[in-house]
Amino acid sequence: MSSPGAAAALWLAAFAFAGCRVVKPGDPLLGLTREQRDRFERGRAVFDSVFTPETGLGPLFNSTACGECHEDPKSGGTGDEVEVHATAFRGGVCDPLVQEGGPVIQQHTTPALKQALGIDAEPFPPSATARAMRTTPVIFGRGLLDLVPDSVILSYADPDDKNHDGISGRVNRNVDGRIGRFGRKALVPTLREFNDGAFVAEQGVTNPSVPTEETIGGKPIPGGVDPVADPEINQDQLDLTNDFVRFLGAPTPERLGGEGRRGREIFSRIGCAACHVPMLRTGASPVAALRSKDVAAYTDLLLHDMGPDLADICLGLATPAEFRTEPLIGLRSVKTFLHDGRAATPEQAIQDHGGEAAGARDRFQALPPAERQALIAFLKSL
Amino acid sequence: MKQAAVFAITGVLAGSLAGVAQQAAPQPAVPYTYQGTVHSVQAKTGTLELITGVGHALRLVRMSVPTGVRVAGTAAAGASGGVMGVQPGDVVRVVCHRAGGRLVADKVEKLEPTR
Repeated sequence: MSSPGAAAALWLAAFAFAGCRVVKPGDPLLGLTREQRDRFERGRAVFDSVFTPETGLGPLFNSTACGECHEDPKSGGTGDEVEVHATAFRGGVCDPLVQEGGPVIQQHTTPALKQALGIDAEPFPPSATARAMRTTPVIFGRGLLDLVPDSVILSYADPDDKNHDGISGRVNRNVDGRIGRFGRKALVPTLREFNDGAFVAEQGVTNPSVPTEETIGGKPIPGGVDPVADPEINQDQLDLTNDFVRFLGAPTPERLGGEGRRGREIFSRIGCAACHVPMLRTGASPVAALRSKDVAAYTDLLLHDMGPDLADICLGLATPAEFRTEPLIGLRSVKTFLHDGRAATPEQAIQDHGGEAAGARDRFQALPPAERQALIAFLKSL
Repeated sequence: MKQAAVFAITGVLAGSLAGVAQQAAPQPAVPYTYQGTVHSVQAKTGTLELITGVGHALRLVRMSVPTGVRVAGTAAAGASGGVMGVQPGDVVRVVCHRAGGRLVADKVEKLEPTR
């Protein structure tokens, strides 16, 4: 092929092919069947449904809809809400303070509950040893992370730092002993459980998986303030929501220029990739679009000690200073950084890293300005 | 929702999550299987509180452990008698039944994480 016209046609064809394979934030996975795409769309409708007290909201809640928090730039994205969690860490054992309403402390009440108890939010647990602020993470690509085999996560763990690299990731475990991976402290083993629990913990919407309401500081809900029979949504609504979330694609990273490519190399060179593992591979799934896929996850799904300055609550086996490596999928959609939103920029977030990440942070700070800028350009492409 | 139904559904869920097959219900006591983290142990009253739940929606389940019930452990954990064989933070699987409006443990098994 030598004529300029043919070359141009080939370039256009290649561009069109590449263009149709781009996943934008909020898009479904590539390769879903028509039926799966239909469920994705119907699930999004439930995800964006605004609940009221008459349809099951509350009596305690953080938000009126999944899509109220996960809204920017599309459903499944981030939001500006910040919630409160509380636990107690004593003698090396973490108490999630269920008996006092923990670990999620809802920040809103329905009018009926306010009238009954005169409260605007759930009381903060008196036995708490720490308070955690939690921003809304993007949840793009979480269906892919759900399918990374436990064996892969364990393969990155090095709890005793036997390789002496200063990084000692370890798994968290759910209250029933299974390996966790979802949530800032990696308590929750599966995406479905995270979603099912979130309906109740975040919106006060009971469902077939969690048919009981949250307590109010550990005390039962007063009679007459929650008129809707449990469960407040049915299995079909729950399943559709789960399908929407698990079928959300991981946004395709933006095309890198020279600076971004240099930044990607620096990311690995200074040690960021030791925890923010660039690529994970999913395992078996009946859904072809999720099965045996490489995902640019930039996480190892393990807990790492991030130092005393970032420490807040414990959860499961996670000590106050331990956090799960945040996946960097869809990072370009994020407006504030770190678990509590304390960092306004990715650069500040890196500078706030401590503990096991102190070495990588120090190497970042020692970079010439152009190299720091290159690394940030790379991060902003994700 | 009636409390009994709540326990039944939660028990079935905990059982299924742990991969534990629910036995067909013998008459008259229906067995429930819970797998969770020990929250508290009251040796004097033989009371055990477990943390269970789904996602971040955690729940406390309280049950009595009769003196004759032994805590079975893995080979490494050993086995010991009565409710004192477990302590807060331990992960256990408990098979119990409902009697007089309360849960009563029939079998307590201390679990070790599988690596």
